[in-house]
Amino acid sequence: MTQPLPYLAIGDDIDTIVLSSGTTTPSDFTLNRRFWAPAVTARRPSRLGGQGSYEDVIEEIDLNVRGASTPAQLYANIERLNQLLDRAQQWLTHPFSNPVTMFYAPQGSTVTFVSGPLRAIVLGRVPGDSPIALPPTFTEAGMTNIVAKLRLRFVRRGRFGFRQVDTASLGNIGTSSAAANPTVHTATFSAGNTRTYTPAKININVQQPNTMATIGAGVIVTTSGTSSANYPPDIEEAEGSSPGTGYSVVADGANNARGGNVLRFTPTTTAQFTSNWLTTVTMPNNPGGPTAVLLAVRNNSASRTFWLRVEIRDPADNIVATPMIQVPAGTSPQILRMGIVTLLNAPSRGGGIGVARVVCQADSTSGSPTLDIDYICTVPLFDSTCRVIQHDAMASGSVANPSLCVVYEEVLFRYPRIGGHPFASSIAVTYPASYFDTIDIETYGDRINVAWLATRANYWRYSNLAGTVVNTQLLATRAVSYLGPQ
Amino acid sequence: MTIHLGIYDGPTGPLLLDATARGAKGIKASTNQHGYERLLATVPATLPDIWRIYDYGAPPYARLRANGYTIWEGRVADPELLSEQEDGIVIQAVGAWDTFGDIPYTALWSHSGTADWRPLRGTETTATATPGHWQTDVNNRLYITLVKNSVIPNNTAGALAYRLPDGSSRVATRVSFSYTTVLPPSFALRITWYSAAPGNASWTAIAGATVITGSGTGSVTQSLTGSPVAVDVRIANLSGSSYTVAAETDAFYAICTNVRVTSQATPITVANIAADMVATIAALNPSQLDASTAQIGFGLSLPDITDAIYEDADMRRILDNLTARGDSSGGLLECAIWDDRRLVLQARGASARAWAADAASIRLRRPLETVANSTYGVYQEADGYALRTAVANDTQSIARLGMTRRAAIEANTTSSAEATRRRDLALTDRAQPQPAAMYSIPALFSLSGAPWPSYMLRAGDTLNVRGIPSGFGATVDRLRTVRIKRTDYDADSDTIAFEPETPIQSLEVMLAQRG
Repeated sequence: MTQPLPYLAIGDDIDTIVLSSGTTTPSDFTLNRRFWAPAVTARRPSRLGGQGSYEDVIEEIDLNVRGASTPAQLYANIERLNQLLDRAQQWLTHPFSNPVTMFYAPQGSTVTFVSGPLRAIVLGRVPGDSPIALPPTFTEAGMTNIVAKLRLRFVRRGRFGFRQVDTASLGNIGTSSAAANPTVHTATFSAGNTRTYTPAKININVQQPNTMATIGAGVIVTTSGTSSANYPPDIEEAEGSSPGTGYSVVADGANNARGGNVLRFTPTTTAQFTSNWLTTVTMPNNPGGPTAVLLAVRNNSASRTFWLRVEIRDPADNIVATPMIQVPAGTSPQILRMGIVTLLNAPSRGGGIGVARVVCQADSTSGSPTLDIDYICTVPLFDSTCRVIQHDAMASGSVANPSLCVVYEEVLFRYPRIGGHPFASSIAVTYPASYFDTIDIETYGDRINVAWLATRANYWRYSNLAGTVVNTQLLATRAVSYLGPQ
Repeated sequence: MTIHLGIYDGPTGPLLLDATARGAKGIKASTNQHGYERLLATVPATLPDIWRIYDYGAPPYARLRANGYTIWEGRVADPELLSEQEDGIVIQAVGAWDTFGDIPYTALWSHSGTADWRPLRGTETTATATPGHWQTDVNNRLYITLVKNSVIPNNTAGALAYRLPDGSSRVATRVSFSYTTVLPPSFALRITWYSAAPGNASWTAIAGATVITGSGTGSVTQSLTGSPVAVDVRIANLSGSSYTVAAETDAFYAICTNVRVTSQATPITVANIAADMVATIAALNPSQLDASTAQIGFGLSLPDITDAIYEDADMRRILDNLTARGDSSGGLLECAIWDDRRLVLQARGASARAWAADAASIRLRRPLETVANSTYGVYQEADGYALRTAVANDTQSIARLGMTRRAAIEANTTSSAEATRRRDLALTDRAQPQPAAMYSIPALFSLSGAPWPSYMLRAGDTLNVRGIPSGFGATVDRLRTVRIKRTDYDADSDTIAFEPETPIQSLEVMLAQRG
């Protein structure tokens, strides 16, 4: 079934004004013929995040408004418009009001009023402008009971989206299997590829007991892709064989080291020590280009300071390095953000051939200090669907198996959010958390790859109170959206 | 879209306002030789959010990040509330270098002059000092002589004293000098130090020590116990009875040279002073500055600073001045605060990244004004009399330019070695013409040719400008590789403007387009 006639409305929880009914029965509001077409959005030119990849747009809609039978009803209808657009403005500033949304289903479209029209949140008036301009003929309205060419002018979110993303049958929900953290989970959307950036939300189920009232601080890394071109983050052991002078491989299963071992740096001088190329770090999925680098590290000495950097090579032996980073104070394992490097080519040289090494340095050898590295995580940053999101600890509702959720749903909410949620089966933020990077996550293609990196107390990997590494599992949905009419 | 501007409840607190999600505009983040310099942004926000930022207690903290990478961070120093067309707030934040301006610095580290030593009055030492029996001068020395025909009572002295800056955060722990004494037997050259030293009122002695009794020569380093705020050098009559000076004035005397009062064992380096400043700030404002001193002078060989006395001084100026002295071998230093509010003092360029760019358009000047291919240092005798080192020449530069341009380098020290080092440092830096340049570059690349985000260009980095020919000479070489003095990143348009170390005087910006 296709949409028989154009449907256009703006409304909220209080009022819905149908501007084009989609049927042969008009309402008191009708579009002025040939005086409106939906605005089409475009990519934001800046890299600023938090509001999606596309620009907000300005709609200008010329309407004819009438009263059902009297001019008083006409004036009441105009006032409905005024109040609705005023509430749109109010939504931006009042935390408890509901958004005003524009609903649209073009004639002949498979997106119909019945199946659910396209939606975009109305953000209120154009700055410095009035949302409604009455025509000069308004003074005759008392006689004619109609105002022709009343002009609405407002700002809305650029993308048209849907709300029904939670319906599994639409193929926009994906899950992964549970696995011990940190694992790169991949969720595939059976509805297939999207070729525009699509808002998404994720639920990382942290399978911990309810005696833990919080989910700890950590780092979420994500990328998106397709079946033929998927570049998930890599998490690889640092403890490659024959690591070189100053380095050794040490068992640390007691502290839940990933793979059971860690790479240990034992300085004999305060010079920089370069490891051999770590044979375990092959970066098979990295396409080259900008790449974020993270390390799980532990300074085993409270009184000594360590610095380190990561160097990555490509098959042409171009070597790029992160800056030398000082390991923050503390003798517990921690996730260290090493920065971003740009690889000229895909680094992989095949299995077993290391493409990364570390350079470590200590401020003194007094007290025989050591520095351990458990794993290295690299995140390809080939587009804006690739994210590294550092977050603080969050409340979890004191339930068993709570979730860490990142919600970006621009047809419902002002801003993306991150936080704890007591349920694994739905995606919402019940207990908001603090964060340090943009969280308006989007997908492209038909899959999203997500990993959560976290340590706890003396454990390299997020572990429960019994010291057992917890599993994580991914649930992801996307809100397919369009840049213009569909 | 991955750049995030967040306003936080202090450097370690939670997020107060996701500025970019609220449509922050006009975000500009600059860096300079001291690290993160300034950030400006206009953030549309609700009035409750605005008031929360505006009416802060502890200054909120701004972080500009991209996928975990810190582009800029610092405290919100000057929020400006807007309530015109739409409600919002202008965020003006400054980097952690600004924290050194929070507290004035008063401290004695090392004092090597004699000009501000003065005779100790009898009223100041409960009548043990009898200045009428002695003559003194501080002419590049401490000199005390017995006056002819004086009757010097037992256990009295003639003394020259030095008072530390009042309120100094550091106390004197050592005094050292070389001495020559010609004294009657049982007259001693002594050092006395005090825990209180009010002007023209009784001083409170902590202890004293005899350097030599009678005549002799030598040098001494005396440790000072307690918490002295003043110290004197004196000749004391310890004979047990009054002594009538029959000899001519100047027949009996003590001369002390190379006098130095320090607050720790020497050498005293810029790293010591910088670390103390960090400790001072971190103790009073622990959230504003990281207490770690591990990167302050790590691995450097730093010269002994003979004159370092500060009274109500701005720490930023002190650090700039000390950094300009270079390391022990004449290498240049840099002092900055980048990530995690941690001070770094290191060899210049030690953590710089090297970038490449294609010069799309170039404006060049080669000002002769900055050239100094011949330098000498100016320093002082202990009494303030100006001395000059020998002249050092860069013969290659003189031959190439066909002229000598000589510069006097003020060293503000009594140490000829230090003055010589600063002379050489200036010669190294200025012997070749410093080109003033303006570049417009289309993108930022690694040296291997990979494009990088333009926001990764920071002050202190070096930029290799491809397309400028090599082999023409030192000036052109200096153009091919420039050190960045200042960057200004515009997050809205993802462009970066930068200035090389010697900018075109009009200071027009150089735009690196989206990288």
